[in-house]
Amino acid sequence: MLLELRRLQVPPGQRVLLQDVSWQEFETILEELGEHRGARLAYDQGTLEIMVPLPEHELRKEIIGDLVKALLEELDLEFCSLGSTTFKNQLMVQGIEPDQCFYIQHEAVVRGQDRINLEIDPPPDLALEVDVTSRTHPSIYQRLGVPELWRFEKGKLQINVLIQDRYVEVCESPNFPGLPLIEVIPSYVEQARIEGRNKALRLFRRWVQDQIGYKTK
Amino acid sequence: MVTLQLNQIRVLPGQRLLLENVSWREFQAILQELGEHRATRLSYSRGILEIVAPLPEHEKAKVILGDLLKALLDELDMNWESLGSTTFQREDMKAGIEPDDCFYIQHHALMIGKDRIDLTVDPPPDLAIEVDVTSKTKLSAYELLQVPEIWRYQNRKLQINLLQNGKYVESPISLIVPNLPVLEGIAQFLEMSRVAGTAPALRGFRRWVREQIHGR
Repeated sequence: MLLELRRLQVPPGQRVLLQDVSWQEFETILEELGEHRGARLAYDQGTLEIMVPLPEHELRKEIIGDLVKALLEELDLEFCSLGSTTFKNQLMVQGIEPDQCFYIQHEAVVRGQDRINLEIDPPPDLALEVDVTSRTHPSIYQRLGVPELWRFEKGKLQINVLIQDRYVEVCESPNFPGLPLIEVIPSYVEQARIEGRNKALRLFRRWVQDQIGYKTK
Repeated sequence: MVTLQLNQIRVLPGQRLLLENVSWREFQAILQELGEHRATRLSYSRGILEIVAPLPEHEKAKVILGDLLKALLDELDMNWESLGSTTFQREDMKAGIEPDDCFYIQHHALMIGKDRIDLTVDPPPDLAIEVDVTSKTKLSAYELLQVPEIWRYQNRKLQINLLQNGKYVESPISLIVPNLPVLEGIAQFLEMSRVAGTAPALRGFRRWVREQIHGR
């Protein structure tokens, strides 16, 4: 039996898999769903996952993204954040829309660029996934060659670094060496939840400044 | 416009998917295509078809709840027929449901030896069991099929819903044995089964039921 895609409705917090989806169909689906949607897609060699996040997921994603931006600003690292842009590579038959992602080392390469094509452009330097239990996502990031993946799950931050094409959990982000982010980020996420976003960000910036000052002394 | 084959869609355990603007004929075609041997449960109401794939722990809770109900009926010397997750549907109401479990109790005699149920002639089950999220689609299907009582268990909390003027309302008592504090008893031994195991909880529950009967 045939069903039109637009009749499928994935409730918030839920996901569905579509099997035997060709690259061409994946492209058509991306086009049909458009940019303004709550659903997040991940495509892995013929299997398309459609996931609709819960509002609390979006909240955490925003605050962690803001903390990373504050960190980059305080460290005076130029960056470009591309949010949930669809990253895809037809040659690898992979595509993903992260919760948030950043070009840092490769910022200059993509600066001013409206479209990213992973067959030519480098992948983002850092991707962020919040409460995504899907097992396929890390393997897609792996194949797309995203060097650093942050996974925030149940209040814990896990930093994964691509070493010889595989993610290895590490205690320190290579993008931010010397900073105990695994402990610090979750505590400011919690603080934002209780005391408000602005206050948490302000305190976080101060903490980063203290760390830099301490290091340069 | 992108179209998909129904068999391309996979709902993973613990997940829920809605299909919109589904006609009665399509619902029938989907039922047929999916067949009997599947892990998913369907509900259909107001043109929306919901597909749910339960988690193993969901199935476990369902079985224990069913066992407690059967123990209760057994101790009270009452009869029942269980129809599990049979698809109940009525074309005139444009509704269908596959409960987690269901029972004919007051109407058990009508169901003995019956292989097929036609809800335009037969009564709906007297009691249905629903574990986890009882969505709008499910509740509305139950309403349309006029199932008088639902036991809902979600987030380790049990509630009894009774159909009153076409809507479900939470109730402290069950229609099966209105004179026993069934909600309290079942909830207590459900919790006990999580700690002490299923069999001791069932035995404890049977004792509790006997005390309730003789204590009166």
